[in-house]
Amino acid sequence: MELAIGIILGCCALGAGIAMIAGIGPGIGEGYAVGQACEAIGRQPECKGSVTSTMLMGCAIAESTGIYALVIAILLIFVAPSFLVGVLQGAVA
Amino acid sequence: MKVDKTIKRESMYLLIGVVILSAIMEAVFLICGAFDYTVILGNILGGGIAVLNFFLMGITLQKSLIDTELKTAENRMKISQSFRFLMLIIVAVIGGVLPCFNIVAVVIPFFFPRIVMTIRGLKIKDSPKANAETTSESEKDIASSDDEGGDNE
Repeated sequence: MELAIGIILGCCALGAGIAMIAGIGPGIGEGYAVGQACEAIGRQPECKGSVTSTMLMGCAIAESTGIYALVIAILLIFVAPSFLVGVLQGAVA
Repeated sequence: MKVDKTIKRESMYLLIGVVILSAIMEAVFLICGAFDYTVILGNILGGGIAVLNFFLMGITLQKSLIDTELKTAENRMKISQSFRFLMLIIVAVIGGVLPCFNIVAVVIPFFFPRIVMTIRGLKIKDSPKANAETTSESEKDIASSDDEGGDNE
């Protein structure tokens, strides 16, 4: 029983760690987008307002990918262990 | 540093959107019968951090767009994203550890900016008036900065 609980906790922690790899992507994507926006504003300074506004929307949407990963990791750490251990104990009993 | 008008305006839109979506979320909790003070506290924490995250992203964007070096702008945004993500992780862990916050009510508001910005993007796409406003504002900004530059000279 203790071994099974240990495996559940270990797998949850491992899963949370793997999920957080997805947090790297938005940083790279946002950086690239901002670099291209700099170039665009350099070419056409009169479009600064619309480029900034579009960039803000794009960055907010791009960032949510990382937040999905964060939510999965948080659920795996705080919610999944107690739920899975409960299911295991119910099955054994 | 003066915060750009566009960033202030978008943050205000986001704030209003987050308040509306928070009200909807609390109504869902109420209907499910899971509503208590932890939901309200968690919602305030999560919603506040979501708006703060967006505002900080806007400030970094403003600073990055001033940069003439492409690599510097890219790196500034990457570093900012890392720190903001760290802030979200810390807040989510606080929401999970402290019993006075409901973890679900803390985490769900992190998605509100995406929903609000998707709706706003659709609205802007439909109305060319909004695009025209932003373009005229930036033209005014350029004109005023040119005047200031002329005065300094």
